[in-house]
Amino acid sequence: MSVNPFSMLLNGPGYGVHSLLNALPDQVYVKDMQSRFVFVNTATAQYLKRPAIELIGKTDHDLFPHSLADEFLAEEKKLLTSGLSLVNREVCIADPAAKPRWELTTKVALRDDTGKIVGLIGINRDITARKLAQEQLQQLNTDLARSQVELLETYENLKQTQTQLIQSEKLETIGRLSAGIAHEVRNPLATLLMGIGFLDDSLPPNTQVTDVVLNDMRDAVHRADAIICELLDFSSPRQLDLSDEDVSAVAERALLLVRHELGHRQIEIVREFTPGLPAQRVDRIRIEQVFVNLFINAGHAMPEGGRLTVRTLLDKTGAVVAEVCDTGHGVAPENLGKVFDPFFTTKPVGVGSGMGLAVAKSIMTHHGGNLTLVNRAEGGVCARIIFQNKKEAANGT
Amino acid sequence: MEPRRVLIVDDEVAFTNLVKLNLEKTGRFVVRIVNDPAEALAAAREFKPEIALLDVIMPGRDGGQVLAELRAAGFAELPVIFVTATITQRGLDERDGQINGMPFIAKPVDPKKLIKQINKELED
Repeated sequence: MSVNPFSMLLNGPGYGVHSLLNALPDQVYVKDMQSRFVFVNTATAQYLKRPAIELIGKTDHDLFPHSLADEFLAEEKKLLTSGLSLVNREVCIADPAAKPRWELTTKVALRDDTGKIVGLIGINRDITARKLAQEQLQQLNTDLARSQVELLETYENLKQTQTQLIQSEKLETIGRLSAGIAHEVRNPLATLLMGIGFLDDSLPPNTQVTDVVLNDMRDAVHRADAIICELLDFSSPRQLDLSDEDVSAVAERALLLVRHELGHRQIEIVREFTPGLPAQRVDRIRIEQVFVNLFINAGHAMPEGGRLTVRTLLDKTGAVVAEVCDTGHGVAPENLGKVFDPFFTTKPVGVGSGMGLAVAKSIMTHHGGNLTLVNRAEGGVCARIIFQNKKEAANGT
Repeated sequence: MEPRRVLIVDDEVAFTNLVKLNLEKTGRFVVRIVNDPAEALAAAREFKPEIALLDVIMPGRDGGQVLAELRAAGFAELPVIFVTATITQRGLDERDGQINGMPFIAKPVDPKKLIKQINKELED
């Protein structure tokens, strides 16, 4: 019989080592080939809540829940056969009777003088506190990332609100100004028109030139008045006269209104109406005006002719959308941000007042919808008339 | 047929002069001009108009106040047309040419249209 390989630890002159091990806060234990404890230090005994002497000869099955003990014994069996050490493995001791405990485990084979494996020595360090701190840190990181996203969203919302505020402040200023302008400009215009009417009746007949002059003057007065009226209509939108309307039918009626305007420009009209779209509660005359303004813009963008596509559809959020797309010259990128500004125009004097898109957008906003404009990759622009999404409005989003 | 008496109360002097010229040229109207709304009531008492054209925005008092004075002073049935630069034709068309039951005309207005409207109010 060979010398008990554990004798040095248990009885021998190494009592000093014994007391050293007992002084350690880490659990240190020695097991034999059957994974029975042959030595436990004080920390191990304290953790297992039994006197050290009682633990000698016990296996993990006597101390831990069955499945956990199976796991420990399986890995120890492997170690005792192969001699391969387990170093710094993090193990969670999920004892249903206690709080989860994390341990950093190292198990090394113990050999005799001949190099034969006779058991194992294990060291467990309690790392629960570190683990918890790590988890908390991770949670904090997740929270931080989430609040960063929220912060970004808030920032975006704020930016949008600011833009809207600036826009509505602009509108308010325009409203105040336009009432004053209307009074100051239309009164002289009224005098001019009365004067033109008087001359028209007073001048001798059959003077073609004076007829032309008077008509030009009358047209000029009406043109100036038309711009003021657009400004007034834009800045003081009247109450909407709401009824349930089929957007495709409204678009069709608007096409009828501009048929002369578009007809002499060699413009092909393509209708892509989606049948059976939900009716929209809108002011038909106003929405017709939105379409008419967009059609006229499309016409102006295609002086040499082209294709005007009018489309109605249900978008993926469930909102009814109408698209008006042309194959014209498009909008210069630097102007895309200004197209909805009142009086912004790139058209020659007398062709456009610069109010068409501003009025159209204002009408859509008053309907709880929106109007957007993008350049199409293949050329021309596409205007999207977005009607209020009732589901979203109902959800308050 | 006797020309109809039209009172026009408007602070735009040139406009009132041209309205007078246009109306009287037809031989069917005689026009009394009042450019200071404070003088409207006195002028009406003297002139005894069959119809009044009232501007809305004037210094001192507005067209509505002038009408209230006239109504209170015995011109209860006098037909009145408000002529104003502050409402658009589209806005008027949507209200059948009336605001609070009163006929309105948007400036600038063609003389022929103005005459037509005056005749209509005189007939009613």
